[in-house]
Amino acid sequence: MSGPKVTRRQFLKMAGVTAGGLAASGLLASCGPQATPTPAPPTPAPAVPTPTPVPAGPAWSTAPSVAKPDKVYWVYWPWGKTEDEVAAQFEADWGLPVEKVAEPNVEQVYAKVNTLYAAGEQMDVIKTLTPWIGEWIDNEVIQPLDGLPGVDEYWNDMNELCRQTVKLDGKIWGLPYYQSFHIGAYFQDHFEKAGITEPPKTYEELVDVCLKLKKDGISEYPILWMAGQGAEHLTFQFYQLVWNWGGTVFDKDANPTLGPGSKAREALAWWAKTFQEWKITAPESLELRYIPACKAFWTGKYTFHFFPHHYYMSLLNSEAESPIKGRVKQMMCFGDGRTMGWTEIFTLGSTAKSKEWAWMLLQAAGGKTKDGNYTAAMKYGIGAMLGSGFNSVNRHPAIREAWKKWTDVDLNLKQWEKATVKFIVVPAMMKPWHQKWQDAAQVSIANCLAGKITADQACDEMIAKHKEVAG
Amino acid sequence: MERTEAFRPSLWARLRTWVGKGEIRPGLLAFLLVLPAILFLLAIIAYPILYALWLSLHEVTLKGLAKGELPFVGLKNYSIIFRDPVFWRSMLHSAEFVGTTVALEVTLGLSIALIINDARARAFGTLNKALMLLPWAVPPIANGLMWFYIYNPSFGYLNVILYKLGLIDQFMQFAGNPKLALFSVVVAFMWRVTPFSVLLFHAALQGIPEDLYDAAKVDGAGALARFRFITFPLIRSTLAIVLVLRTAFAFMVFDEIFAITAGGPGDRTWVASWYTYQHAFSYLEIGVGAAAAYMMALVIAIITVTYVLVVYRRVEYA
Amino acid sequence: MARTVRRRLRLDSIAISLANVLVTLFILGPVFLLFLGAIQTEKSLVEDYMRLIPTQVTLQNFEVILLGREDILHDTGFYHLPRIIFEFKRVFLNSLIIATTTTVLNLLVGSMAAYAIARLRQRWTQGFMYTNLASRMVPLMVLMVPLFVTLRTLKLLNTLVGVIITLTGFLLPYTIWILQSFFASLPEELEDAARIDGCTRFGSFLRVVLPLSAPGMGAAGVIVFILSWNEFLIPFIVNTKAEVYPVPVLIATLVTDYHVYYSLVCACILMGLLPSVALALLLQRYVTRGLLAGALKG
Repeated sequence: MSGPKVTRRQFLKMAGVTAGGLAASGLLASCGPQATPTPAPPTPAPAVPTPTPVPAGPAWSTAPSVAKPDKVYWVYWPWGKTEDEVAAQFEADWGLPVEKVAEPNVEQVYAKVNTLYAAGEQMDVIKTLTPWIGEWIDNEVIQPLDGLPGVDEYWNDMNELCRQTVKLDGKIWGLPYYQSFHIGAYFQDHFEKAGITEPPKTYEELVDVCLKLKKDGISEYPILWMAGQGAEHLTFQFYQLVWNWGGTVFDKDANPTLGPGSKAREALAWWAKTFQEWKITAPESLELRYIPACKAFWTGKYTFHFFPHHYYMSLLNSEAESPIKGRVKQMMCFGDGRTMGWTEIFTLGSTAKSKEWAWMLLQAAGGKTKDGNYTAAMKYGIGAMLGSGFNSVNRHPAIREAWKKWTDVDLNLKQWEKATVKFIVVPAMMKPWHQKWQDAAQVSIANCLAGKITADQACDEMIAKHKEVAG
Repeated sequence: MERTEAFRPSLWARLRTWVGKGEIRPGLLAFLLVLPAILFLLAIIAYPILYALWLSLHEVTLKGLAKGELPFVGLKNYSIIFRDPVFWRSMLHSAEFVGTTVALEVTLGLSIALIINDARARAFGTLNKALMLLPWAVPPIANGLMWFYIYNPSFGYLNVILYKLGLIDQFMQFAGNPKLALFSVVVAFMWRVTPFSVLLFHAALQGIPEDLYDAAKVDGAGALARFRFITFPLIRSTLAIVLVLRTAFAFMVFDEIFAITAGGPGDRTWVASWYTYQHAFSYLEIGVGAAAAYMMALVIAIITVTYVLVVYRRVEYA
Repeated sequence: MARTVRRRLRLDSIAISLANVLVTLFILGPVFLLFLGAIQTEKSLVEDYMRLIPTQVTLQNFEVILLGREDILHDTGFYHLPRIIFEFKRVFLNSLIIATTTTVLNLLVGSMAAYAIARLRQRWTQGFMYTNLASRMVPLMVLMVPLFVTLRTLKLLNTLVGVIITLTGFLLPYTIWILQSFFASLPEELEDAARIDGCTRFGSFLRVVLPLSAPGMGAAGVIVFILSWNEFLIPFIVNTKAEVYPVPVLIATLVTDYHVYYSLVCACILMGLLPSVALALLLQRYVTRGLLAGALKG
């Protein structure tokens, strides 16, 4: 199924309908931030003459001198029981009750925040997806971490992918929730059956291996892409493919680079060939996204899988549930190994009653708890292989130990270093027209992959759509 | 009807006499009894119908609603719809869906009714009659998701069964296949609603006296002839009712589309209700959505009028 | 001659019996497949997908949903769980409240109106009956757009009350239609006798008609209950908070790509359809009569 189910966007829009009030409708009408974030060299947080005294100890273990509010509100979608545990720890550490506003699905948090903001309700820490950040900055739903103690130390520990995300317009807007990047993996058993010892390193090698696997009857359709139409999935895979191919879909000024002779066009044509000409791609790829694709891979029918979240390795190799656990191996992206990555963050709500105490909760969620450990990040990492925005977490021996069963940790780290944040890969992502363009682009790409139109036609359609929406 | 003197006036009568009212006039009583229903119907059906009309003649967005600025745009929303190729495609898909569904439903419904009604396998027939309402009772959204699961292209049961029966040599896509997507929804929908038709046909069949068949058998009529000359004419009115009712019903399909294809792949399974839903609640173009909904209502009205004409005409003949 | 006749008859019976078996498969098949999915673990579901009948079965999915046993699923898959399933009990309760209240309201309001149409034949009751009939044919979509706007203004979004009122109004025409056909079929003499004894019209309604039409009320009640339980679109549009979801909306939220847990979803769907199906099968006679009365004229 390549039509969207209750896609993130649909739910956003549908649920967003209940956001009452001027502010909410203003939020819904506006789109995206106006500025493209550029990677800036790390700068210390500007000194702000506020009455908060310099803490005697580290920021995460020193109580602010201001009075505590009645409670602090944490808005999020749950990841297992992690937030429950962190909130409980925070309450025990500081004696400050945490009101947990947990929406079961990520799509609903966007609408929930808009509704709460419109109603003037208190929100201290918000788990945020990067597409929402621009809009929320514009509408002052969230506030930057100016003048808060300890921000520097966090900044120093952040990796590039994280810094590129949290610093916008010279201000820092949050602490990382998790980091992720696009990777590829293969099913070892098929390699062994075919006598292949090394994963392919180029696109040509990939095709050769696949044709061999197909000929030997080991796998009818060796490649499973995540190519279902929906929220952003198909276009993400396209962005990643073109980036790794050595090209871009949009240039720095967010103009499409899909013209004749462009790398993007070349990559799309190659992609379509895997479906139509060589028939090495499973046709159901056009129906599958995210978890359903992973679980389809569990059947062991396919050899290669490309997906946007490296932490799906923990699902593919899940000890309790995967029938092929331990047999799925990560491989480096082709060519120079470059890939696309991103960070999702926790932000500070502008309706927090006390900025200082909201910062304490934000630290517990995205930084260090009172005991000085990156408690949440370690839980996310050890439990579900979520990457962290902090170098010290990613290199921690406990993380290494936990990830060993899911992937080759060194290879993963190497791949990680080659990840560029998605806003740089696709500057157009921050533009207000991007979502509309993306919806139409997915149809063009899907039609191309299904063999209905050529890559040239698809690219032309996408260029035309850009003209239409961007003006 | 005049109230005559009673031995023991009822409690109500005594109450009324005490209050000095006497019995309420039938006209007033009827009005009072109907009042709550009328209030509900006014609030939930009449008022929204009129309001939807009003909405369809204005440009309605969430922003506008918040500010209270809803400019009158006349028939602009309707012209937007009529000029939208997706609208016409949706209507076409609806027609495809309704045509296939009703044809299958009526054929299957009648066949099943004949089968379970047949005296030659009474025990089986009784069992099936007892189970018949199961699909009807399944919540439509649950039905959709259940079939979605069965249609899974990598390990779904339909693929497995077809493969084991030797009907396919490779797993297929159903819900994600542009050629099969609509039919996939048809099958799921039809599974759920056929029992209703079976019920109606079964009741109609029960109404045919056995002697007619016996007489025909004596005259040497075979099974097919008996069906053609006895069964079919006598259930014609039921058939007509079923056809019309089910057509209207199939036109309104939503839950199964939502769960199985969500309009996809591409816009292959966009039907009338999905078009309306997308515009009103997804794109938040509430005015356009209201206009589309009105178009839907118009189609249903045409079908309904047909229903009324057919039923009343038939009843007069019967 | 007799022997060949008998043999032919036997073949006929076998053919019809086979046909009946196919019908049974048709009815039970999909739900049985669902059941197969619900009694397996995620791993065994995907691992040996070519086997229809699993070698290992488990009730753990039901334990997770009904008992909230999160500890059973402790692997990485746990993080990809649709969290909403842990709210199942509450959601089930919501469904119960909505369906029961809607049914009671429908029977109350509907029976009064149906009596007026069937017995207190005024000049305008016929007109009301036709209006009622027409109301049944209004597609829900036409109503939902304006109702959404109205409910939003009245601040009835995300409330059970909003759903109940909307659902009651929407199902009322059907209820009235079913009930008035039952009332009309009752012999008038009984009411006449009551009136001679000094009963008022309303009194005879309460004491004679209602008790006698218990089967009719039962039929309408069961149908309305099932239809309210199964209703998806109204609560889906009106509600966005999990606390007020009824079961069908919970099932709809399982339609996502971010948290897909097939075996649990199967178990959820199964739990979701059991109440309606159980009611329909147990009270089948009532439902059938109600559906027939509702479909044909009288």
